[in-house]
Amino acid sequence: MDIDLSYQAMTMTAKQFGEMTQNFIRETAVATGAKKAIDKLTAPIWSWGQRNAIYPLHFGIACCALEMAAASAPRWDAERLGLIYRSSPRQSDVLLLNGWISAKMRPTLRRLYEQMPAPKWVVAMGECSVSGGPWYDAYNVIQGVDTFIPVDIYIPGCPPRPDAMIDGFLKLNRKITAENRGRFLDD
Amino acid sequence: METLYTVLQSLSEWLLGVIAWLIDWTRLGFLSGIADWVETEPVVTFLTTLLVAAIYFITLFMFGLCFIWMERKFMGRFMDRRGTQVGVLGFFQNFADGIKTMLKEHIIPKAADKGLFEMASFAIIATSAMLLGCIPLSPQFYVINVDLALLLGIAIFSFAPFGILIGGWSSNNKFSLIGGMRAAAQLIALEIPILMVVVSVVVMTGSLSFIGIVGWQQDNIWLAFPLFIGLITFFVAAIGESERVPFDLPEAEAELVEGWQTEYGGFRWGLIMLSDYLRAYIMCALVTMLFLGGWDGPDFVWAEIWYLAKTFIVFFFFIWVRVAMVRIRTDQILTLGWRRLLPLSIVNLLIAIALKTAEVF
Amino acid sequence: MRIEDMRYTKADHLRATGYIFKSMKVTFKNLVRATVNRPCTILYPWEKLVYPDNYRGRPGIVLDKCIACARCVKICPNQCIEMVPIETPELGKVKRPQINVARCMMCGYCAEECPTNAMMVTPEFELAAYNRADMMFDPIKLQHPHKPGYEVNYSFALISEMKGGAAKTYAKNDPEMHDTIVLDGVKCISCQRCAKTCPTGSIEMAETGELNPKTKKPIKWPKFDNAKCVVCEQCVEVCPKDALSIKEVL
Repeated sequence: MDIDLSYQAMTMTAKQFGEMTQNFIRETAVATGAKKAIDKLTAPIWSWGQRNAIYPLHFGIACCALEMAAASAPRWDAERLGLIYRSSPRQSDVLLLNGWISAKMRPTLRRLYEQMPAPKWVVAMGECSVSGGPWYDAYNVIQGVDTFIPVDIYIPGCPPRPDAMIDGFLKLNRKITAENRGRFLDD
Repeated sequence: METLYTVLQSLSEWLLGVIAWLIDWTRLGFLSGIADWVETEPVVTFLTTLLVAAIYFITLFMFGLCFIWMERKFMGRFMDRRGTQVGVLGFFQNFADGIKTMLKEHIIPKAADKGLFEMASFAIIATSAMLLGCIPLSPQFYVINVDLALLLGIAIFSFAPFGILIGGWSSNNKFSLIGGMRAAAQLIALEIPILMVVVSVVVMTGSLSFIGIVGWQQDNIWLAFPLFIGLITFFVAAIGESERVPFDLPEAEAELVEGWQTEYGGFRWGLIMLSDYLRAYIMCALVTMLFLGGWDGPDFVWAEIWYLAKTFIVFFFFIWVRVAMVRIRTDQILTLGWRRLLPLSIVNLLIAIALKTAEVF
Repeated sequence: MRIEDMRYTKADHLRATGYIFKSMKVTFKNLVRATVNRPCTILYPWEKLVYPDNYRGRPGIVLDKCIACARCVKICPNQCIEMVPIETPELGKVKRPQINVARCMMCGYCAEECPTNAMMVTPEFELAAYNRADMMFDPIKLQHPHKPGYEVNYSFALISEMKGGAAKTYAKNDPEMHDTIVLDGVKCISCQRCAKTCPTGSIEMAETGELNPKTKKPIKWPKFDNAKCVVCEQCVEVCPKDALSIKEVL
């Protein structure tokens, strides 16, 4: 990286200058160890925030959706854990897949997954989305959502009980805690 | 306010003295002019005002968060369940929400109008946050006290429907567009009864500043009693202006994905959510100030506590209405606004004029 | 009534007002009840419900009782059970069932069919996993402490006995009343594969009294002990000449 920048500054566009400055700052932070120190301090806070405010996408496909609804019902309150269901994929963290995924649904789900902003997780709930379940040899059902979407937590059950679903989300919490990634100066 | 101001003034004088001393310590000759300038009167005033505004803003921001917390817990208890349980009694859920939305990737749809998209969310949150400064907590604790504070408040508040419409339009999403249109129609329809009720309050009290209105109510009677119809009208219109259930068709889930906020994610959406609750707070604050006597109350607690207690009680009614009622259709909301609330507010205005002319108050 | 004749009447308006206040009253009563008493929420994971013994969580096995008859494999609707070889200290290398819980729909058929009640249903439902491999329960992982309530026993009645009304019911493993194996002697070549495969040892090669014309040795055909047979049908599958078939008892 050049120190004599005057010549380049005259010939680059505003956008290039901005990128160059950002890269410079980021590299300096990494090289001096400042990023590592700040990450070590702030990563627990970030992961605490992320695991206590998980917003699943309100996308019920089949029978497991009833158990998802039962988990929000007063008996097994999912809002205690910070789960608020949002209907727009742009505002959700977790793609909660419940129900069998037919071949017609597959591009829609892939599009929903792409529309969600990072950092995001996928939870496959119920046997049908984990592995096809009773439709293990059907022609129109995708045998397992992880064939086209990377899955973080599998919750088996047909359908899984609401407390099994909450247990799955607690395991997701543990996964997020373990990731513990610092995000200083990341995009 | 005076004590707070003088305390902060001495603090800022001390702080600027330290900065000037540091500049002198470097013994760079050409910086001595700056050191002198730093300690002059306008700079001290500026820093003091900045600190006062910051403290005020943080205080009200905390109360805004308390609103969100109160809504979640009370809605939980209304529905026979507990609300959030993150942190102490669930209060840290707000911070977790804020931290999480801050860390999200920033996505703008490719074909969306980028400038307008950003501007819309900025407009909504900026106007809502600006209004926090307009509303005093008591005669001693406020940021500004202009003579036309009420008019200023309503004017800034009415800028948000514009931002909502632009946000829905620029998202390049037909459901957002429908949501934005419906929201704009609804909010404009419900502004007029609010303004008419405000006019009737001004007729009764003769002043447009909050301190004047509450002062009149302290001397005479809380305006909830003579202007009861106005209170009901303002209450219903206030719930509609805050886009809460039963008037939240623009963001109804089953009909419109999330309405005009569909394409907003990450921190912009977090700010929009916050502005929803800040606007609800402002509406509750207006109800308290205009009808329930503001900070009027016996002297054994501070005036601020009375004001906040009343605001929270009004918000409790907001939550109660939310839990009890289903959302009504857009045309029913517009019928409510134009054909039911507007005549009621005019009747209220006539009552106010009659009471004032008869010199009852 | 035609749609042009439908108008809001005064009754409709008043009903709307009443509907507001009635719903507010109901919700307020619920609020008072939920604040004065506890809400009905169960604070999972600190509080858990007590599940009945026959609650169908994942299947479990008692390895000592399993005879590797593979009836569970045949009956599973999702075909998630597979017999895999494991080492046991007592019996050496044997085949025991492995269940793919990612596909198991927890119907309990395997526990129903198991003739020795080695397979049972367990109330374990907290099965969430981070990857697919953790959901493949090999025989060692499939084990679960046994309780009498976890076994699935049923009793059945025969259709032929039900014609006149109520019928006698038989237990699941009734040694008298189950399908029997029938030998077609013409096809049997005395290879003894059925006797070797039978997990319960209920097949004996017995002399039929005739002599093989070529080798002048006595011909041996399988003889079935109905008391021990569990109708696992392994002998039927393994017979190279299809000499064995099932005669159902109806």
